[in-house]
Amino acid sequence: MYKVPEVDLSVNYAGLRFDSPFILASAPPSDTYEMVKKAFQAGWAGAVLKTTSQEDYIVDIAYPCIAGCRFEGNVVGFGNIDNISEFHMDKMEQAVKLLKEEFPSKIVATSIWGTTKESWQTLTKRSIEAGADYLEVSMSCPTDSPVEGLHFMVGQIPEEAYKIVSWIVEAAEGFPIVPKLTGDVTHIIEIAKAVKAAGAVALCACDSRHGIIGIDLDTFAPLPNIENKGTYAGMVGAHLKPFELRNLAELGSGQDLKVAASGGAMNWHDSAEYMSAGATLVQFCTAVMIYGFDIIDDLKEGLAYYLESKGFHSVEELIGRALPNITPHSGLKPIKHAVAKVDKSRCTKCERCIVSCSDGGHEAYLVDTEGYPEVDKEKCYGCGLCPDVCPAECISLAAR
Amino acid sequence: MSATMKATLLSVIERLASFNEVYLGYDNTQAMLEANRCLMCENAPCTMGCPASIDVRGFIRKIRFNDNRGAIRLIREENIFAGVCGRVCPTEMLCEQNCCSQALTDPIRIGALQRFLADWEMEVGRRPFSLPLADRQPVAVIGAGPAGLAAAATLRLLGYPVTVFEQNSYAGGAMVNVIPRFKLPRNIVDYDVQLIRDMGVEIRLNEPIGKTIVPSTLLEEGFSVVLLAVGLQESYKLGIAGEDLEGVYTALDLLTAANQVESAREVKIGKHVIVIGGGSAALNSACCALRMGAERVELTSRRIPAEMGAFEKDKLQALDEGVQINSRFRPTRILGKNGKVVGLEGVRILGKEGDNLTDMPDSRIILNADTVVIAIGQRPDQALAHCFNGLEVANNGCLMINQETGQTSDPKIFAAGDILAGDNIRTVVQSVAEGKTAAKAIHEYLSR
Repeated sequence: MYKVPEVDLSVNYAGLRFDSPFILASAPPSDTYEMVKKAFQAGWAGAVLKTTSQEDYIVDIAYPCIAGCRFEGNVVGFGNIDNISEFHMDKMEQAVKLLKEEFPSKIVATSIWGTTKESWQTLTKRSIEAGADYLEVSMSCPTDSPVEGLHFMVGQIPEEAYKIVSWIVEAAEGFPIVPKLTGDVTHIIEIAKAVKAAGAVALCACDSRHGIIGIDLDTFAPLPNIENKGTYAGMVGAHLKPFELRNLAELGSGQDLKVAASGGAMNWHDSAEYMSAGATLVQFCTAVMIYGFDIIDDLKEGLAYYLESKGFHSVEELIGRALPNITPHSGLKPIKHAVAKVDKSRCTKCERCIVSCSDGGHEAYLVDTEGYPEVDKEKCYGCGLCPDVCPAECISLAAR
Repeated sequence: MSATMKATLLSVIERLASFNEVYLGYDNTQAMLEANRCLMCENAPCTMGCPASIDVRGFIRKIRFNDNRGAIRLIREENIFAGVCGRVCPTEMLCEQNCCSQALTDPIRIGALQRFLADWEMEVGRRPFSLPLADRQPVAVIGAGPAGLAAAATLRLLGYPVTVFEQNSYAGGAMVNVIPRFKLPRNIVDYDVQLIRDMGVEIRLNEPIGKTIVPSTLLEEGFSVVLLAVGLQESYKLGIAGEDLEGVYTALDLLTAANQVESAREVKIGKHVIVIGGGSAALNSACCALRMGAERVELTSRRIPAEMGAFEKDKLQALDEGVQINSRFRPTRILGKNGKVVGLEGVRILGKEGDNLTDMPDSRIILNADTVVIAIGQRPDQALAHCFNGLEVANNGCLMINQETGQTSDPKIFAAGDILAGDNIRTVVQSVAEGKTAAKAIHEYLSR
């Protein structure tokens, strides 16, 4: 009935064409052929299969392996103590073959985990043999480390990352290799440069972040607790977004490999923010686990209307748009630009702005004779706290 | 607390001063807060409770995911009258009745969210249409009410050129002439109707339906099928003495006068009004009378409020606005003096339940009134009955259709809307659903 926006959602990454920026991340939703098939039928552009290993590698997963992090009762993200797939390369090879047969225009990548040069290289060759379009190097999974004796992830040590990626690139003989980075580093650019030097053609940033989901105050064990013990988890979901944006911005401005964003995008708006910060693809897992594969329609539609409203004809025009506006702090004019302004017609008189400013700001609010908050312009710094504290969203920052 | 933020409802004093909308809409913040309460159910019961099959969970999710455009698209693609239904749908007994949120707190205010989206679309402007060529067989629709227009829109989107024939000088049917303005402003109806015109549906007004415009002549003129969506244009009578006195009106008379519809009979509301009936037309008439000069409005019914067929909002509004409810009353005679109404005589009836009642002995009651409004239901227009020549009708004159094929007893004549025989509660959304169903049936028939 309504005209569909004339925007091209396709993107190019790792030398491949994706029909939209939205693909499945290497995670439970992409663990089996059956599930990825559902995703492709729903409209996802591609999938990185859950990380797999050689048949002799033992994958131990303790369950429960997922728990939510809550703020005032609302789940804002999850953590997992999951591991790589319990299915080994033989199962994944089958999945790749079937998926590529049934969905030739969808992009299928394997994600591999080796322990030795030999296993990394064998898994690489098997991925190519199976017909995968590219390969992700799972070198940043927070659950374990393949390097004996080290408690760090390969993705945290430039030299280790260089070494492993060059083995894989050697075995790949030109087939596209994409290392998956971690944000748990001091300088992500160092890692990016190291893997580029090793022959990576693009990046995936980032794997889940190290955290502890919460502590159960009855058992004093981390969540999820298993016989009264718990461990460090990989954090995923909405609460990662600010950290992901930071990593994307750093990668977007400090190096030139294309990036598939992973971690924290829950809807088209987040995705557009990630792309404007430099991402070419946006990988999804948590939002799919929460809502199902059919969010792909919402993602594509929302993004398309947005692009049309900005006059963009292709989603590629969005990539990196925000980067020129991200400056060191010294690049910002250090003056008080604005002052808080209350729209009384929408104010509920809850007085939350007053207490926030009084105890966390500059004590710049008073109550007027009708019970509405009144800003003392002399005291107000325009710091930006009250607009996002106000439950009615009726406070804005106006020019002084 | 500021009036705008507190109120989803105007205060009673403000309300009675005009026919302005009683319910106010959500702003963006309120809509988002409400959308955030939604549980995002799978196989959502709200969707299953919508007669028009709107993907309710889908549109609420789009609001939540910052995509109002996609949200209003989902609604309009199933119900072209998004704006009208966003205001008048008795959602409390449809989608909201099934809402899973009520197991936790309260049902999501789905109607308010739909209204928010329709108003938003009006404000920012709708997207252009993408329409197929209208190159299939031509279809005639008689009646530009919700059923006829919804069918016309559906057919147009399937590639049929559609001409709608309407007897009034306006399109919209009951949306314009019967639903009070304080529930549904005229501009909201006009906006939705204009969308349908913009799609290329031809609406011909002031057509002599039942005279030169009858199904057989339309078929002879070249239309491949005719859809009868003529509604119920007459009122039931009580069949008691005094119904012809000056000051006695039907609900149709009063509502059309309240809505300032051109063809309305002249209605003079006195000071003491009695409305007889328990449906929404009766409750709405009572509230209209309060705005038309009445000092006291009383509603008499055999039923108690819980048994009345009126929608919840209509009952609550009447109560809040001071309509006196006189239940378990059976009118026996309208009393007159010098040809004008002076009162209503009746008896008290006894019983536990609205249909199993007996007269209370020696309970003759006389109520003072200078205006009596008979609001006991509508029926097919007798003058149109010959449109139905040969078509199978029910006892009450309503049209029967084959549930599978949608056809009346004449395969080239279909029917939808209030004119259909059956027990469905009459709402705009029900008519929309029937219009869509008829359109699809017509498409099936013409594609064979």
